Amino acid sequence: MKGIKRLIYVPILHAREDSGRASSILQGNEINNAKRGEINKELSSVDEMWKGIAAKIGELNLPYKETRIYQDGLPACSNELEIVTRLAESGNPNFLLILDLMKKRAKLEGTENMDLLMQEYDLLNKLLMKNSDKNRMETIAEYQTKSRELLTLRDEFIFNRIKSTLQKGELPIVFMGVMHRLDKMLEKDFLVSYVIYRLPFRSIETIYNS
Amino acid sequence: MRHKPSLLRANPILFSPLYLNAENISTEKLLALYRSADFFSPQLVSGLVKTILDMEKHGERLSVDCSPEERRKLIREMKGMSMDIQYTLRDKAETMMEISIHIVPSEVLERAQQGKIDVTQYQKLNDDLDKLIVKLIVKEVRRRFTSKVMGYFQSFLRSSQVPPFITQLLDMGWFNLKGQLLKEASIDDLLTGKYSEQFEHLMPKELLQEGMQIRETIKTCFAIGQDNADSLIQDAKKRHALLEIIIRETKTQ
Repeated sequence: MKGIKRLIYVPILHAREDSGRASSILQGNEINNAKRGEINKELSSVDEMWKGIAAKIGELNLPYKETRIYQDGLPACSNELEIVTRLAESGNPNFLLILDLMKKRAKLEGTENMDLLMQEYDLLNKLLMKNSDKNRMETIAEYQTKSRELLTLRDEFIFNRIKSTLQKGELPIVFMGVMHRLDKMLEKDFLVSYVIYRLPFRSIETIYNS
Repeated sequence: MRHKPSLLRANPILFSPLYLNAENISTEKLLALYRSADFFSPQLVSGLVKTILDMEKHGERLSVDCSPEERRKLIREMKGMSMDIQYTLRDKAETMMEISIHIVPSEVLERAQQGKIDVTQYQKLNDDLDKLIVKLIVKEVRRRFTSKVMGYFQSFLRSSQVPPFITQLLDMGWFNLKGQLLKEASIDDLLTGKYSEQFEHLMPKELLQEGMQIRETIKTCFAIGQDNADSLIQDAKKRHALLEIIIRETKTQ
């Protein structure tokens, strides 16, 4: 296996409260009592999933000083650390884990192209605004086509970003949403090891269908 | 014997017949089955598609390097040759899932002459296979549960005193006198809907539990594997909220 670089790939599920919890805290929104039980149930599943992922990563005994983190949605800008800290403070388990890895001396790398993220945001805005339209299915189909194209562009950028920023001897750890096909691109240059935590079936159902 | 269509004769997604042995899938194995298809073998589907497309790519190169006469000769010589790729997932000795691909190289070569498959087609083929796996799991699991329910209906129909609930369903055309469920029958109505109380009263606890697990599996398979509109909107909201924070943070610096 000499000469083949290893890469740790963590496929992540963007559970609703990954971002919703952060958003509500930041915007000062209050969760009503009727929803609290449902959200708590989902939160415990999400937390369990992230605890499982953290434990699995812990078992890998990573050489933290030589580990470079790449994160879905984190733009390459001058304030990656501030973004991660802000999201971790708001309780996002994904970013809490990243902060924990950084405390162990892992390095954080801006991963995405800000312009492409802005395009994604605009696309989502349009979808959510038109969601109640009569032509809902048409809007969704249009969104799916455009978002798939955008995802390919994002994957290409991230792939090049990893290749250009990774230093000799470093181990990349990539946290990426399950819809991405980045791992397929990376297979050409890296030996990809997946970190997957299998939730009990009911918990998956909670995350997806509640 | 199962029919194994060639890569060329059929619609692309049909060249990979999948077989699920419902008898060997117990409900506690459902998650394992789905996850193994989705995560444990994350490269399975794309790997299979890639193997097939690689053959075509090599076929193309071969075609370019050959004169038309040599090409025809090569195709002629390859006639009758075939290659089988078999993917089998077992639980101990029992086969749970099988994917069989039958490739005829001469036909692949002929197809390669017609033009290269582009990335979009590759992506589509990949997605179609993913969806096919989910659909087959759902179909087989549902069939298994339905056959169990039918067994109970048959035993009720054979008994001297047919419970009124069963007579009612029979009158409604949900199942026939052989105990077979008909098109109008809804498993959801029986398990959690308007007839759940009577169904719960009549059917054994194990069957109900199994039914609920199956129902959840189907929901999850569809939520994860299919482009379900509601789950897509949910995902969009999550992503939108996250990006909003990231953009705001970027601008405030």
